[in-house]
Amino acid sequence: MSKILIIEDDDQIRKMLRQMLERGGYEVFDAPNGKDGNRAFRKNPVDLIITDIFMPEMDGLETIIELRRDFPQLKIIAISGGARGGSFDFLPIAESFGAAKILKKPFTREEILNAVKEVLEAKA
Amino acid sequence: MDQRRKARVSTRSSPRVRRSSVRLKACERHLERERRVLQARKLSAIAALAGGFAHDFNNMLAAINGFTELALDDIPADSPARENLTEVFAGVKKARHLVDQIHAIGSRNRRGFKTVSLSRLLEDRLSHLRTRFPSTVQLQTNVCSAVPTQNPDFPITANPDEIGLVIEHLVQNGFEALPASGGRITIELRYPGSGQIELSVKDTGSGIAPQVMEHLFEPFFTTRQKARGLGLAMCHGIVDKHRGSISVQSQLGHGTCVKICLPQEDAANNGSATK
Repeated sequence: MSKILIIEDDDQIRKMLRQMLERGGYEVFDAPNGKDGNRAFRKNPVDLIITDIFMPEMDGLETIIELRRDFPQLKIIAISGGARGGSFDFLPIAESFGAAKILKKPFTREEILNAVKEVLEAKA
Repeated sequence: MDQRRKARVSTRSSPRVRRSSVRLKACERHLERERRVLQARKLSAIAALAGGFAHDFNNMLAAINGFTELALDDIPADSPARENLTEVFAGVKKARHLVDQIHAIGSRNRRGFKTVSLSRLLEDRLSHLRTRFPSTVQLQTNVCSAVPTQNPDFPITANPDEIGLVIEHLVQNGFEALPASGGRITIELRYPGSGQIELSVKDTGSGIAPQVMEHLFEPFFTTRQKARGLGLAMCHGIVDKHRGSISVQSQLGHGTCVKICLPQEDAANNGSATK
């Protein structure tokens, strides 16, 4: 069973993703920000990380940079509802920093499960 | 004697009149510049607000959509609640479209940009639009590339979906401005010089009142009952993102002309290369 770590500050999205992924047959862990997520991954490595972009403590871009620097093969999916307080879209930047897939909220269960399957099956 | 005095007065006052006229024109130019700066600041503030709104709203929509999908898993196939929950998806879809429109006002994301023939894109969109309008509405196109050195494709670097949306919106706006008896919408494509391509949509409709003109590109500003007032704000955002400009000329009772200037592909590439 593949292990997935969700890093997301929105409680509802975290809860929703957890249920979707567990029902999809994955073992799921979660963290409410990049700092905790980073710590959780180093303590208990997973096969895939799904991270939001705008979060307190450490945002998704910093999380991707830090984790990919120490674990270059790590598979990451970045998710975001768009810019906060600005007009810039950070998802393409997350992709350029090494996210294997980006997904704009709101997404459907099918979209997230397909993205997870695709990224997990892809060769590192 | 009177004639001579008049001539003398006229000769004496002429430089003064000329100076006043020059000063007046300078003032008008200054005021116009100020107005544009204020408009740009206002739209930029609105765009920032729209971006923040879109982010938070998309998160809420994601939760509504996701939990509805999960709830459907647990509901028996014959439960009447299924139909009601399915309606939630339709609501989310509409809300998502609204957020996309708001987001387009200030988005700077240049994903999907490629070389696009504006003349072909225009023809493609107009073929769809023609079927929507009654026969009393004439849709005329005028693609002017008379000089052989000018590319008849009117190439631009653009996201075709977004520019297509702008075309559709402007033509639809022109149609809605026409009286019930019909009228004419003229769409023109030309090279005005300075590496630009100009697309104009002109209608023979009711025109726009001067007091409405200054609010045209503001989100949620509308004079129509059923409209949301996001269309022109969205067009402004999209054109701005394509490093272009949009302007409106209108005369009440005589129609409106919306002009969009976009950098010709070579000019756009040169522009980005120097940055």
